[in-house]
Amino acid sequence: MKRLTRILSLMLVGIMMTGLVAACGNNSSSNSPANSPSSSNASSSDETKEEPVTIKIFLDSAKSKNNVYLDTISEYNALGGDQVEMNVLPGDGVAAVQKMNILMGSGDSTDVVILDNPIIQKKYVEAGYLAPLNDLANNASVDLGKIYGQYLPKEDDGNSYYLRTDIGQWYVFYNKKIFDDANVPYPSGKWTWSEYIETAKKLTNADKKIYGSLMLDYDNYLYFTARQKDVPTYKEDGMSNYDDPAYKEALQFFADLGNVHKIQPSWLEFKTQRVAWDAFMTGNYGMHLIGSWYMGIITDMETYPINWKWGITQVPVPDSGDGDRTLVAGAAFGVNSKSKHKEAAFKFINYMSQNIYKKNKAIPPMENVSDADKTALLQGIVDSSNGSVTVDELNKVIFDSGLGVADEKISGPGSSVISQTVLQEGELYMVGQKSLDDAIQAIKKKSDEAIQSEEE
Amino acid sequence: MSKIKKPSSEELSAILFLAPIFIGFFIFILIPILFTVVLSFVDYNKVGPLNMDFVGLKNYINVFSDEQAMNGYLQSLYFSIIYVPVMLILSLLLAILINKSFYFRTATRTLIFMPYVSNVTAVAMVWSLIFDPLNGPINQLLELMGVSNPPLWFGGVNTSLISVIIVNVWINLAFQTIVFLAALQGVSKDLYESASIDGAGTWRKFISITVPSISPITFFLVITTLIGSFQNYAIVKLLTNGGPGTSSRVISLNIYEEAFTFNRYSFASAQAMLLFLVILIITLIQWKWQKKWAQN
Repeated sequence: MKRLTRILSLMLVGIMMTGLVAACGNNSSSNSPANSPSSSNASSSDETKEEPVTIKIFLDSAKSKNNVYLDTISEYNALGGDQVEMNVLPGDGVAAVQKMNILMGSGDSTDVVILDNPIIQKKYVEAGYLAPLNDLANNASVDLGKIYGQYLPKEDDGNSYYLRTDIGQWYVFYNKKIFDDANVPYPSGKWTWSEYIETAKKLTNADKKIYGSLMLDYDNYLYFTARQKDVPTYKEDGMSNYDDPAYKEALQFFADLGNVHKIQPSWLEFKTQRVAWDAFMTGNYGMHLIGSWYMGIITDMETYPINWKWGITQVPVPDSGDGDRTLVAGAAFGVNSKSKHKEAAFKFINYMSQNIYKKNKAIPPMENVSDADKTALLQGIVDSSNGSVTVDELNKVIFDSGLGVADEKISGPGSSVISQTVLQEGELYMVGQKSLDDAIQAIKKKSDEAIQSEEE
Repeated sequence: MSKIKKPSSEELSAILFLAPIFIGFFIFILIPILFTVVLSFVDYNKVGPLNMDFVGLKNYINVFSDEQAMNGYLQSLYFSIIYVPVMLILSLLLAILINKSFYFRTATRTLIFMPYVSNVTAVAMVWSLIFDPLNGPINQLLELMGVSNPPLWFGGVNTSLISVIIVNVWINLAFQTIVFLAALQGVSKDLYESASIDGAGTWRKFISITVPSISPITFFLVITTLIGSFQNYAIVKLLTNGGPGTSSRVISLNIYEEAFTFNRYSFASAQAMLLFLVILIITLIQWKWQKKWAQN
């Protein structure tokens, strides 16, 4: 009996210890897509022998299930050379980045790093997390300048540290049914913000709970027109340029869309009624100002089986005539400076940059894209648009709008704090709790403090 | 040299059974706490490899000049000052009520406990609808009653934190009530009978018998509720995310944002250590007060 008790005790302790150890396991385990070999190859491979190696790529939870990335990795693995496995970051968006920040800070050696927006791109370059790509490209006989041209991001030291997978431009998507019901002609070609507001007013129908316009709660909506005018975000002395009148005008303009013109949910409505980021797909909004990444959403009939046709047009420009620009950003990937397989990682990000845009229905981040490739890209969108758009319509908006470009985000010293401050203070102004001047002054003051604090 | 006594098999079993919790405590609680202390004295305030340059009290000094951090402490204090007494009074009243015999007592107790086991995200969604300042049922009712400017609830600078407190009380009331109920049921009925014979009324019995008898439990709840109120993060994040502006940005939310959004890990650690000190001081004062009260 005593012996039995002892055995049982030991078994119980064993189970508890196993549970404890299991709980310590790494959640970001490798999830191999089809065709990827076992990870045991990684440690035994030596790059200098030019044998295929296994590299790992950080992807957030949503992207790890997205066919764009799954197919790209599978196709790359099928080439028979280096193999790619995913290192899945729990959560999406901000949560995934936060997890990746911690991993990178602790010296993680995952070979390929995802850099979803300009703020992360800048931060990771400055932190030394990314390996310079120029030498890696030379070793691989890749002429980065020739392939990517003006879309190749370069730092002050002349090096490139990441490659974009698409050029994210801003467009206006519109719901043709709402236009038809209101008997309003579809917008096309160059137009101004005044025309946008007038159009949205005609589309807005409070009885049917239809708004003519939809914009989300990202910080850059609050300074959109200032960015269109390409007003610098920092002064020459490095401090914030938020006291430039263009930023004040931009904030007032955005607030007025909901509060004064009532063409879209006011900030208060948006926040308290928790309007979803994909609310346009409900069919209750006439137009939606958003980035090109939305093309993947609006053509995803499986997730959003919409029964209305949609159209696309270029972003309106300020009436003053000094802001004929759309805003651009782009997702990117870089090579971890701690990677043991930098050359293999470079080859893979180079492959992604030249292929992901095709699957993502995005603008290629490359200099010389053939007309045939462009047409194929546009035809792909047309094919999945359920008859909503034509190649000609898309071509006019995406490749032939005649608009210049300006950076979408404020990226530079203190950018995370500035981004949040713009939202906090802008919010106080938009819900009527602070005057416009006070809000702008507070943004300027807090931004300067953040910049100084980062430079100390 | 004295010979080390070999542990008996019973002692060995005890050690083995305790080992997992000690190992877990060591890895997941003690080491992170110690690391937070270390981080608060170094300069790891941006994305990059761990920077262990010792900066002394710089991060702590910076906390006192940081408007947002100080606002966070004040918001948390404001939250606790309202939340703790409201919570304790309501839960005690509710416990007294459901301690009586009445129809559907079991069903009522189950209903009271439901918010506590509900998913916090679902709770946040429901309360957002209830407190919708434009189309929500509460404001529609207030407008029907003739209130011309009903509150903005989560959308108002002056009402956001109060609204969060209301929801938090609603969620956590059940736990406190159940604990109070258990304490009330532990009070000897003989005491009440004796007091009744002596002519004591309901209020006198409550003050002279119930309150002293449940004081250890009350003290326990005051401490745990207070600590919980300072550590409140999830519900604030879900309901207001600290807004509008920074009107409901409590210190735990501020610490999280400083660490994981702005990557100012050392600065956030200093704020966390100061929060720990604040809670420790308040708890010590309460200990002292409770001892004195018990002696009297």
